[in-house]
Amino acid sequence: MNLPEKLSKILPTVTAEAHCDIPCGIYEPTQAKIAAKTVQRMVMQIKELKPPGHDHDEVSGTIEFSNAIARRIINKEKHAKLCKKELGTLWVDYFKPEHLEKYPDLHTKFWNAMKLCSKNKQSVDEEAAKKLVEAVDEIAKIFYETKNDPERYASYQDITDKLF
Amino acid sequence: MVKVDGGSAFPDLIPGQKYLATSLKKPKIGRFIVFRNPLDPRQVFVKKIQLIQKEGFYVSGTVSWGTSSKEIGLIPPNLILGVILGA
Repeated sequence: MNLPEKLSKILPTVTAEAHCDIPCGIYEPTQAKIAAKTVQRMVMQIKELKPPGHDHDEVSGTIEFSNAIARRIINKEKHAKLCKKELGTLWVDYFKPEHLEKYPDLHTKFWNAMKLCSKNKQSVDEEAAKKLVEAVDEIAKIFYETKNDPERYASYQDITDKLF
Repeated sequence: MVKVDGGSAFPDLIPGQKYLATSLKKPKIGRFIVFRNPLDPRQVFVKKIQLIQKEGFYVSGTVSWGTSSKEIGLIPPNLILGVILGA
């Protein structure tokens, strides 16, 4: 047992925080928003695509249509998953217990947003896609507020709302 | 005694280790001080003194991404609990 350990048996001990405080990683909700917007875009395109009519070559038309739909479903699935991953990283790694004091519904917001990612994987639903985009925006707004940087939220909106 | 929780003062202070601190020693540049966070006095921090100004002490960790007086402000003498010995 070294000297400080021996002394700690008789002297009172206080715990002093030497946390990095500022997260070591780079955290940013833009990636989640781009993923959510991609989901929304894929839903819109899937809804828009029409199956081939009878005047087309039935086999090649069906193959083309199926391929176009499948590619969009794969993309929707991939980006809903990416959105969930990005949200999870912000939730678990960036946000800290003290943020909950100011934003007591933070857990609910993340939970609902990540549930919407699943909903968008399960369905082709324009309303669910719109709600996912809005849920990511709400989290992003809180994120930039915790950074004391409201201008960055405006920049985030400016970029991500003009993606299509 | 001060138990260090976290790695922002590494390698000078090792997370989880205990260090002796005293309020009898004068805080000087290069010394680690234990103090109450001016923004939330419930929190006790340990950081290194980088500058001494009229209004208080400018402190930082040993890593560039740690919190410093840039975020929490200068540390007034009345919030200092002690100076770490031997680090």
